[in-house]
Amino acid sequence: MLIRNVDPITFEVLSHRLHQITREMGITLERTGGTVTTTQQHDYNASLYRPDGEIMAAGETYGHHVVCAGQAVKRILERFGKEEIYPDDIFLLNDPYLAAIHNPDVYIICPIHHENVLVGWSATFVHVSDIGAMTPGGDSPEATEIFQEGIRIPGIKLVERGKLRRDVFDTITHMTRQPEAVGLDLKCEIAANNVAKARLQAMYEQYGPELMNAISSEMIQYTETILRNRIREIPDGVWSERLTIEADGPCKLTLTLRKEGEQLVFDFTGTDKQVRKGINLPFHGTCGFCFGAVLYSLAYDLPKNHGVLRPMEVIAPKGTIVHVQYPGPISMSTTSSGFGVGFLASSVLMQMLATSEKWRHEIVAPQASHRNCRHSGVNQYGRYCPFINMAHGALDGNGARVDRDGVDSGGSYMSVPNVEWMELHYPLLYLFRRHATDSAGAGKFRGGAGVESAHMLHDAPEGKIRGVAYGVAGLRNSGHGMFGGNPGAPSVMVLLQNTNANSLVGANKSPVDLSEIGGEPNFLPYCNFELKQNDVLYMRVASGGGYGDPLERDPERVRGDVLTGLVSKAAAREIYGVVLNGEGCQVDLAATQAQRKKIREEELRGPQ
Amino acid sequence: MSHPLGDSLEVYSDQGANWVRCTRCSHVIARLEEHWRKRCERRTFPPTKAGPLMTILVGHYVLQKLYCPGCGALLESDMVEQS
Amino acid sequence: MEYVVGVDIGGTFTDCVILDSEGTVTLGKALSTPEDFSIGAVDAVRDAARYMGLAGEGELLASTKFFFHACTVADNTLITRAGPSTGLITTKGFGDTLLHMRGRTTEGLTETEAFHAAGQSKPDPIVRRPFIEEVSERIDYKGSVLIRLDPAEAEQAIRNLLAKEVQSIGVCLLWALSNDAHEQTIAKIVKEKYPSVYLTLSSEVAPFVGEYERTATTAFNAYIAPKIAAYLQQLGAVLKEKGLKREPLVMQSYGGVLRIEDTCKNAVGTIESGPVSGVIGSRFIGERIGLSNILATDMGGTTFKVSVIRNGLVEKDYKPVILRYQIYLTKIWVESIGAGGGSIAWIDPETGLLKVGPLGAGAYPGPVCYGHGGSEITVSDADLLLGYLNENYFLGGKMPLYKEKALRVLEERIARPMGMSAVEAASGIYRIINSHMSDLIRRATVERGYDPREFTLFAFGGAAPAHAARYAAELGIRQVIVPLTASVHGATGLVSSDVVYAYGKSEHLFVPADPRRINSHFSALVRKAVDHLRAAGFKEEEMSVVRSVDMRYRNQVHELNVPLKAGIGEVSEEEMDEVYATFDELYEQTYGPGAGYREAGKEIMAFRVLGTGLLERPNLRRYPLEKRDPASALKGERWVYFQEGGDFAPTQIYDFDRLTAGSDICGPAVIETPITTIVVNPKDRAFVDEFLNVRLYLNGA
Repeated sequence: MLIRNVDPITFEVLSHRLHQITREMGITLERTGGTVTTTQQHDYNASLYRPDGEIMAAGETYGHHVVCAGQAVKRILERFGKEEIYPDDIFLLNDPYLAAIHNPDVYIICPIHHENVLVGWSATFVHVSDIGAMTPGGDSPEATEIFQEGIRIPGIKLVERGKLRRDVFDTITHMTRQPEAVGLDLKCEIAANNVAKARLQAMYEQYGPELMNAISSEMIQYTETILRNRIREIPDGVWSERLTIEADGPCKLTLTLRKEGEQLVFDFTGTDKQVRKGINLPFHGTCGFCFGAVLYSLAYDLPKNHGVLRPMEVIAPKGTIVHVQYPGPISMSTTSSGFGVGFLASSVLMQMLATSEKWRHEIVAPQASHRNCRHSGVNQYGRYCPFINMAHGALDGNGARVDRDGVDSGGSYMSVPNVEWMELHYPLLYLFRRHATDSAGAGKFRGGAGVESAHMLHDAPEGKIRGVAYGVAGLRNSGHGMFGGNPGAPSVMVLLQNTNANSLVGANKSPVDLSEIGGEPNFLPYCNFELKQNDVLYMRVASGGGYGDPLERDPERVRGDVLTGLVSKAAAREIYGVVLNGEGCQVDLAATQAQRKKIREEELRGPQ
Repeated sequence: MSHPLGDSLEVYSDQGANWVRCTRCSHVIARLEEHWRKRCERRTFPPTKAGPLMTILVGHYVLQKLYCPGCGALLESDMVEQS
Repeated sequence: MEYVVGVDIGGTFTDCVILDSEGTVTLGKALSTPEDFSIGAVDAVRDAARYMGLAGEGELLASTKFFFHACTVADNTLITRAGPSTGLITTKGFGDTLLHMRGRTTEGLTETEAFHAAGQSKPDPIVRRPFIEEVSERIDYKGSVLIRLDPAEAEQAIRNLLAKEVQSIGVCLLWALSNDAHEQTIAKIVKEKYPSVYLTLSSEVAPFVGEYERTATTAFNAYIAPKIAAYLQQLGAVLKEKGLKREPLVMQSYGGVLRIEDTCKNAVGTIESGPVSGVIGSRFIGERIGLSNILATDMGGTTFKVSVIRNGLVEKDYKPVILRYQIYLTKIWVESIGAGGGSIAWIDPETGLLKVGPLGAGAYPGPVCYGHGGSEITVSDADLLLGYLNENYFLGGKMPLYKEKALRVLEERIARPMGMSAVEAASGIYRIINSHMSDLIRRATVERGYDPREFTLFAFGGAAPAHAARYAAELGIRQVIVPLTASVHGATGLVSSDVVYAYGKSEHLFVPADPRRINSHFSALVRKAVDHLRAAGFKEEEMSVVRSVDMRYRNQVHELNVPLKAGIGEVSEEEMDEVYATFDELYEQTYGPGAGYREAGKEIMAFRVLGTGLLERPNLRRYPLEKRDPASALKGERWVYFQEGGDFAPTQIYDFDRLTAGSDICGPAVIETPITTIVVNPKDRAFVDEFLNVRLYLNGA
């Protein structure tokens, strides 16, 4: 029996209840937040911790922040000591050199007491609207050191014994470009932590500290034991993966996974040295992204807690992109090397799963994320907005599975805002937002199609807004294929300058065709840019990688994809070897067999 | 010891050693300790072979495909940096 | 004699409630007839007429003042994807909106499902991509036309869809909520040239900001409207032929009824209207016995549902998730989980932990104790083994239960592998399922800022009365009521409903908003509601109109609905100031003190009007309260398990049919009715009230 000190029925009842608390925290953040990332993209953390900072119950969103917020709890304990941590205090921390990943992700940390004894912590983060960095919204492509990346707080009491410290609150919000929006962000975090505190205290009241403490340590033990069992069953082995991010030159990230017995060692030795561009990741962030990859593959159905971390070891040499040293810049880390590390960890885990008959059905072709953009500027109502997040990553196509296609525009836990919501609040006009034809990586099972979109200015009082291009830059972002599957189309962000879009609209034509929209294309690296009149920003997010040989795909499925417009007829023929006839695109089976044979023979003969 | 290695390969033990072989034609590709990829048939193609949206990779990457030397089954496709 | 008739068509049974002018209730039941639901409806009325000693359904219908109806046609059509071939027309460049679903695939899933990367999927689209046409046109957020719609192109799009033999077309163009000119252009072409096609405009069914939810609503409506219309017209004709003088009134998901014609215009409004009727029934019974804070809980075979009635008002949801799609629909808010009598108990093979649900055994073969070949231990099996259910009196003795079989399977599959005794296993199952249900109720109350202890819990559905006292006590609730009409609860709700028209419209206004804009929206919406009420035969004094606004702090996404004071006159700035202040209060009440942040500024996102045509409430017969010894209703004694003693104890069993109003029973006890079993726990007391509802007072309350 895995549960030793608590009866299993009580264990089931109370562990369910603890996770309900994290869920409720998340809902509070979504309903009361003021930033799209919080309210629509589910980009937040809402978790409970044990008195020492170990993860008691992780919320339903990003894994990496679960780990870093636990680190934040430990830093608060170190800085203040238990004697200066009072019931109903609430702390704020956003220093990436202590626990956070980048400055705009502000942790709010709340000690929870029962009868004056510290029994646990709750912690949240949201990406606040602005953090006073050189670039509005926080991600600063031009920063070369941390000092340009906004205010950095190592731990401060925002609420003391239940009373909001107005001086501290106002000082923080006033160092940002939009104090009232940041105020709303901080308020939603306080509300979520208040919820957690009330609920956890009620549980302590009802069940008593002895049982509650036993439950939380049993939960961790339980998750650890099962996870170790699962790892042990998989054959030992070594797998590796690389990713190049383009940041003023190629930056190589390398990961080797060694699976030995019931231990997973993630070793980043070989990764390039840190750079003077904010794509560097603090070590705890690297651990967090590895944690997330394990959580979603091997532990998705277990109580999500510190037990997931225990069989893991992360090695990342100091001074590299994945273990940045002070005062290296980090402001774009989460969505660049962070998602890069997430990709590497997921890729090696998928290779590992492919060696287990039991686990290979959990394979999802891994994905090296996308490009994204935020704008800032004056909106149609004359109000300055520092954080206009396009949030299209929610429309990434997902990787293919062993026996199923990837989900088209499946994204992750996020939702993209409606076009109408964006146009209502910001001076933008979308030209299209659609599945990109031939974006999905071909395979016996194809990846999910990604989305392409274009937008331009509309009713912008200043005739321009700023933009910041971030994400995973480089040609090998997007989905990677497995076992013969093709990669998904790269994610790109292209600024088209001096286009015909406005004249097309003036001539009553929908600007949906890139060749008609025209303009001078600029593929954007990590940079700040301006979106001006007659400019169009084209974005294509990631698309899923395929699984298996495309020539083995069921021709009827290929036909279906052609009818829905996800695959072109040419690609059907050249990549899948499927010959379709006539208007109805009927499959010509004989011609298809011949075409497939021909493709393979030509390949093996070799073109080069 | 016997376990799958991706979609068309498996690892098996024989005569005190572990081997990688093709599940389709039983061709033994390599010992497990070797890099089995080096023993595969290897062909490279322009990136656009993987689709029309790969044009931007041209000149930087090539599409490398690995096949079973026994039966020509496709084992892996990957974009690799152009040397 | 005049009658009020309520007919509620469910998946398996069609229920009928008849109230005569004296308030006497008669129930009827018949099997549902999915091939033509109107047959089952008439059968159920005939069944009731027979009980009343009437010649037939004709005699009853001829004297019927109101005929209320709820049907599952919309839900069935959606779940089984049985709608007609349906097309959609969208703005060029945005035809994939319905398929994107804004990217999120986890809406409506359990936590484990949501976390399972390899298991992600999107639901089968209601309209597949080849049936979605795009037209060149564009309107902006202000409602200004940027690209004019060319009628010829629109007609081509319609023809392309007709060539694929679509019978119903939905149109959802960007910003049609701000300017419906282009949608109307398409409507004109369809009406003039292709009048047999069902047409749904987004600007009519969901005039709210947000193209995904609006498109989904439009597609749902287009998909179900032809079925709903055909069915209701058939039903109307059959009932008229049988002598019904006034046309039937149909339940809407927001908890009011509408005429057939109005229902067909907005077919999406009938989604989940059956369960909604039950909530209205709870409110009605609550009104009769003087309760205004009610948690209506329904535990059937597979699903457990909770709704909240607070201060006599039913909580609503304006963006419910239906089959994993989010749609714009004013719907009574119902939270549900997979938990019921049929929920399966299982041991996680990897962890050895006992789990219950969310999978259920279904109606057939069902629990092991049904003896139909079921091999999975369910909650009902545990209930039986704990002594709560009577093996010889299930459903009034209509169905024997097999206790030995259940015990054998429980021991084999659960108790022995867990290293527990059979009773430990059965009581574990009982505890776990109860805690899942109380967690859901906690979600429905505490998460919304309500204290569950201020509510009375109603228990409906066959399985609830054996569990309700436990899941209620877990939350500190002190009173549980098992209503007399629990078995035909939906139909009870029907006979107590009003005619309600619900209209809304998005416009984004910063606070303080221009009163002229506010009044122009309200007057248009109020006029529409009043006109419809008048057309439905209501006089001014029989109408009640409630206006409200959806508000939020600037840039938030989730709104709170804030009611205005009663009345339909011009709204002054002072009145709006009060509304804004109410918003701050509601916000803090919902999210905790200090959560509000006024500095952010506020905005109004939508205007709403509910126009109610008040119908006469039926009487319910009152029975005199008598202090009589319940011993006369005693039918025996059996061994029943209670967790307080940790063991079985001899417990008295009462026959509900022999209890009279005023009966008082101290727990531990079990009360058996022909349809359900009420468990009275050791510290609790049961009381039969003047309407023959059984009230349980918990923990000495």
